[in-house]
Amino acid sequence: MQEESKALWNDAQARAARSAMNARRITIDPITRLEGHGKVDIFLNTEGNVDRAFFQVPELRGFEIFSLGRPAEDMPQITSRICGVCPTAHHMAATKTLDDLYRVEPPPTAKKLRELMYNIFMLEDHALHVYILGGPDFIVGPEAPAALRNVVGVIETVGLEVGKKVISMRRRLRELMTLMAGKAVHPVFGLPGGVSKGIAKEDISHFREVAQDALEFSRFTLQVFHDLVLKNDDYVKLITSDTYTHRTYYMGLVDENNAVNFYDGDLRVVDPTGGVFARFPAANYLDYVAEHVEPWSYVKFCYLKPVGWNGFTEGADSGIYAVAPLARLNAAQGMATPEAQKAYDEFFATLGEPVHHTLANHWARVVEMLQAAERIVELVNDPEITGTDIRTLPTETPTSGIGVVEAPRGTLFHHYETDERGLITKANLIVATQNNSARMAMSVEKAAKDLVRNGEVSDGLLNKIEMAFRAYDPCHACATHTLPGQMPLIARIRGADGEILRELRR
Amino acid sequence: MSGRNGRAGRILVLAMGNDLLSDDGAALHASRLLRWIVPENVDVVETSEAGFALLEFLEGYPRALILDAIRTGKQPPGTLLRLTQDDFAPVESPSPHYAGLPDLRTLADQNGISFPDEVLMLAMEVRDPYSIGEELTPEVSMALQDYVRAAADILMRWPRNGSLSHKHQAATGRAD
Repeated sequence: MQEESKALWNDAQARAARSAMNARRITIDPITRLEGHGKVDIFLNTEGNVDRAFFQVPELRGFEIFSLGRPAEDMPQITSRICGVCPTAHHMAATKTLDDLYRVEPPPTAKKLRELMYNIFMLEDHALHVYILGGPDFIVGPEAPAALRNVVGVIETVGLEVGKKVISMRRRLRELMTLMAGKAVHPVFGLPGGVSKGIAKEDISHFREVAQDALEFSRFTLQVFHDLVLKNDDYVKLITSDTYTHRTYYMGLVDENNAVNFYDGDLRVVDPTGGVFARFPAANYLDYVAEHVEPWSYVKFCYLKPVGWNGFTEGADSGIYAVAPLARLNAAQGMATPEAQKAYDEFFATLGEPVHHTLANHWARVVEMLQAAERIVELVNDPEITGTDIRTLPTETPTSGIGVVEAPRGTLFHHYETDERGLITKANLIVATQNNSARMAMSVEKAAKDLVRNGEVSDGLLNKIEMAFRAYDPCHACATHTLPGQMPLIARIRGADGEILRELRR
Repeated sequence: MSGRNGRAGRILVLAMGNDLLSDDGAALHASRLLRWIVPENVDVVETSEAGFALLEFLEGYPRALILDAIRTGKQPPGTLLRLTQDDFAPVESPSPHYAGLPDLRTLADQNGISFPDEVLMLAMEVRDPYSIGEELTPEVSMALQDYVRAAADILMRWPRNGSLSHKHQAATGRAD
């Protein structure tokens, strides 16, 4: 009898604890204005302050398993279909991986066509983020009501003419991509050793016209950023506040002059003081990048192998690094084009070097738009761009290939192994958001801890927590991969010791 | 603006989804059958994009039928849901990637972009839009013919000249 009442008592205690825990759980779901899906869980302690906060991913796509046994040359098409957000990045990473797999070097014209295509994509995607995804935080303002923090609010703030400009520029860039690759969303363009189609001489004047307008548009965007963000002391304070600051390593692709490159080059890594930590070709990525697993997330947390995993901590002893626009600018020693270089100099003169402020990603993105536009102008005026030698036919028997590009959201690795027929036996993708996942988790937790006090959580406050990861422009649609390719879980609620108090299944 | 001038008087069928994500591709599978039997004034277009990007597809068409997979869990997989614009409350859009039709219309009006006067959505309740794979689940696969037939019925009832004089013919409410 005594045992029975003891059991009852314990059960009641457990239920009470669970219900108290439930009451203290704040969930922002779905994360608004974010590519793909995500979820944040914030656990409060009894005083109503943040105990821990988790950034979780409720969607899974077992892509690597799906690709087994398929012909490697299908990968540029298949991977670009992973999601509608960054198809061109996957397409190009896969294409470069095929070059490596078949040990084939594309002719110069093919490389330039790929780079042109890639810079057009970069510009178009960055413009989307600046004006539509991240823009609402700055252009409309972080404290504005949610109903206005969207594209309609942005256009109301910057004016109708600007809205028209953004929409028309994006459309014209996408039309160029369609001209080059059949379609903008799922390109049919990259082949091992080259590309499927060149640019006809009679079409190049149209490319030049759009390129020049794109450059004007990028200059204009930098001006908008200056006028609306940099001249606003409150925004600048927010960008440089400790809440949005992490001292980590940074990684990005650089050319032979250590300038930012989106399409090709070596990976350069700088430490939290800005000193160069490593410079390596993509083929050696496994010597530098390792993945850490946490029980509460399906996303693997990348870290620098030579430094090691030291928990979610900052500084030179922690292998956590970042990718994406801010990281690219930090990891490079300059931009590859003159106007972007000027903007880069101003960026670092204003914020110091390296820049550890996560929200500076938005500014870095604008600097990168300028480089993309300038590079597009260079390429469409290069006489070789209308060349007809666009393919080197592969003759080698394939075994293994590694390719890398800078996706708008950061470094993207593809790695395939095949049998002698070129059928995939192993595929590994490390996507941008995965490279960033550890720093992003820290950002969310830090913002939550700094902003949620005594249980007070307003809509504006939640938005500020979301701003911490929105700056990375994360896309989780392809960041997760597990064996069955299915997401069996929605939420886990954990106690202070990490024990699961409650589990909600799909 | 190329291609958009030719849209006046035509009807758009916009099939949405990702055909690598099992049932998420239900509408795409349906549209690949549907495209063989539609009247000549109908353009059938597939997309894996969402939200803001859809504006470019819808622009210039007076009428559009959107096909999509939906997972409410409230009815058996394979059930067809017919939704009109009135069913899409002008809620605060959580994301431009998931921008609702009212947001798109507002954006279009704001920027002088011509948006369809009539948009109807025919969605199919699906079982599994999360797993990687090109196959539909059996229930959804079995219901595909009904999906195509229902979409074709709507298109046949819409006037060939694309005018809006038969607005009342647009069905409302659920089809099940």
